[in-house]
Amino acid sequence: VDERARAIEAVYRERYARFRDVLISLTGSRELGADAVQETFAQALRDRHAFRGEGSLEAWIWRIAVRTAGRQRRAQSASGGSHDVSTNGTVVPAPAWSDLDPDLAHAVRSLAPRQRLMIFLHYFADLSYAQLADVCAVSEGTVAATLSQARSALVDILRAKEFQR
Amino acid sequence: MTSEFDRRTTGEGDLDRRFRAVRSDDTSDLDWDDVSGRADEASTRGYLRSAGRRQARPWRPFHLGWGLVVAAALLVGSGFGFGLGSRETSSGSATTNVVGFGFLPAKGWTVVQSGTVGPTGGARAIAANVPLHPDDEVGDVPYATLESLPARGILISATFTTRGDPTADMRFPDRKLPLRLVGAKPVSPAKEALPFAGRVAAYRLRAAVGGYNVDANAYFGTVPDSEAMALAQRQLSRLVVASERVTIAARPSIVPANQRVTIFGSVENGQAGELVTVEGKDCGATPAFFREVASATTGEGGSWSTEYMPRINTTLRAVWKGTASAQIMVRQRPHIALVRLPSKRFRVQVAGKAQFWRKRVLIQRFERRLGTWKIVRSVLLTESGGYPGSGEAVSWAEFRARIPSGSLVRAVLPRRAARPCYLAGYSKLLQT
Repeated sequence: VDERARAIEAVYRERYARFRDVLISLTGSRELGADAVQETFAQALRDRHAFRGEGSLEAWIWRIAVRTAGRQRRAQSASGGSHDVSTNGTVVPAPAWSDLDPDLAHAVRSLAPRQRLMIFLHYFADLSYAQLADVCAVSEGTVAATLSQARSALVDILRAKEFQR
Repeated sequence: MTSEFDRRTTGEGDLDRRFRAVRSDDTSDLDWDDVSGRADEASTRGYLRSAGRRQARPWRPFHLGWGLVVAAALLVGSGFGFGLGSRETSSGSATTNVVGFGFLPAKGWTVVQSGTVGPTGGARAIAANVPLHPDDEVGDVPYATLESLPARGILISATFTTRGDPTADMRFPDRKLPLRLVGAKPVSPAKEALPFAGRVAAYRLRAAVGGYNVDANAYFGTVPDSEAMALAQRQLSRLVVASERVTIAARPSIVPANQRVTIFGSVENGQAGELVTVEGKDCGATPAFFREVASATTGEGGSWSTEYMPRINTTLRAVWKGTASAQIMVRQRPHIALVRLPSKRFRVQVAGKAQFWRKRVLIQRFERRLGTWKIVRSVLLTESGGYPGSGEAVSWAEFRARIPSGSLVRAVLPRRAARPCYLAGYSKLLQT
């Protein structure tokens, strides 16, 4: 086993829960999310020689993870998966943790895809603005603006929900 | 009165707390062996990562020798014989009487093919008149290349999935090869929130060809003129679609307890009324052989589908007219139940076609303050029995635990206890 494979395994062991939380949120299913984590690291392991050392190894794996989740979600969506719910005209999976905080799950689903992705990566994966910029291939300024808009939207929705009660 | 600053600060602190509350630090599912196994399995199935990388450069006369090496690697490695189409096809257009997915090579075009048709994804083929960006993954949309696509750049990406899922099939009209771009619909990358939105013109063409659903997307660096469209059409005409005799796929590929899986596929001749037999091999069964578990009759277009409840990790294949398809694996989670009994006692039981007696189940309580699952205790399954006639064994144990009232608890059978014939499993949440 080469050095890079060991590094990937170390990321897996250390950050497994964070990857799983983000991917079950992105796919909307615990099964798909858990499967996506395994697929992500399998692909990272298989393609480890393609990592050119630009940026961190973890950010590179996160990029694979986001693509894998998208692929699984599209496959599930194409099969008419039961989690498909339309909000704002787009198909958004319900986060698999909806049962723990339904209001927050509802609010998250109303966000734009990029906002939702950054929210998950920021709150579940604890990625910094710089790491988010690396993963999403945007500038740190864009990350800050997107997260700010997303948080603001979430707060407004959650407050409106509380007010309704 | 609350200022905007206070409103936002308070709200965002609350957000942080709420997101932490739904996080989980449980790592009982962690399974590096499975990751390694998948990586090895994919390599042997011919993902052709290295071949794809080597081939990812424009074809030029002085690259002829290198191109032949790549073509040979594709022929041997893919298992589909991609590339034979050039011999079998007349007038430069592809037909379905070859076995393979992808674009035939052409001067000035980079062509890459990867993956196998499976339940969570399909094979993908890419053709581009520009070099592919090294950051792109062979089996995914080449985002990096699309982000830097020059004005005269053209990239065609096609995915291939097995027909047989009625919901998906209805979106793919029957078409013949070669596919025609005139039937493609313009799509807006902005709607998909793709990073290259606004710069790239995209067209989408869906087609049912030879038992497969083909989803082709043509991307242009700018709004295409007739010359660019003609160039793209010429490359699209070089699309080859596989013609395996019988195909099979399963959805979902990971099955929760007591759930059925939909198995579907298609047969080569595309005719209705053909009988397809599904054979399964249970994990751990001795002797290990395939036995018939389901059957289906093909509908219009040769697609078939049926349902099956595996109840244990199972290898499946479809058999039609004496020919077996490629094998697929459906993985199962065990059935776990956590029941509250009087006097602070609980009962946990695990059922499945394998024996879980003397295995340990973790009882976890959700720590709302920290947003994590904490292990309350580990319970050894000391009792065992069976459901008459079902072929299933059930193992259980009763235990006493002091759990604060109002807590959310669950039972978890970790992967290490469930393997090799099951994945890790969870019970439903129980409120004490």
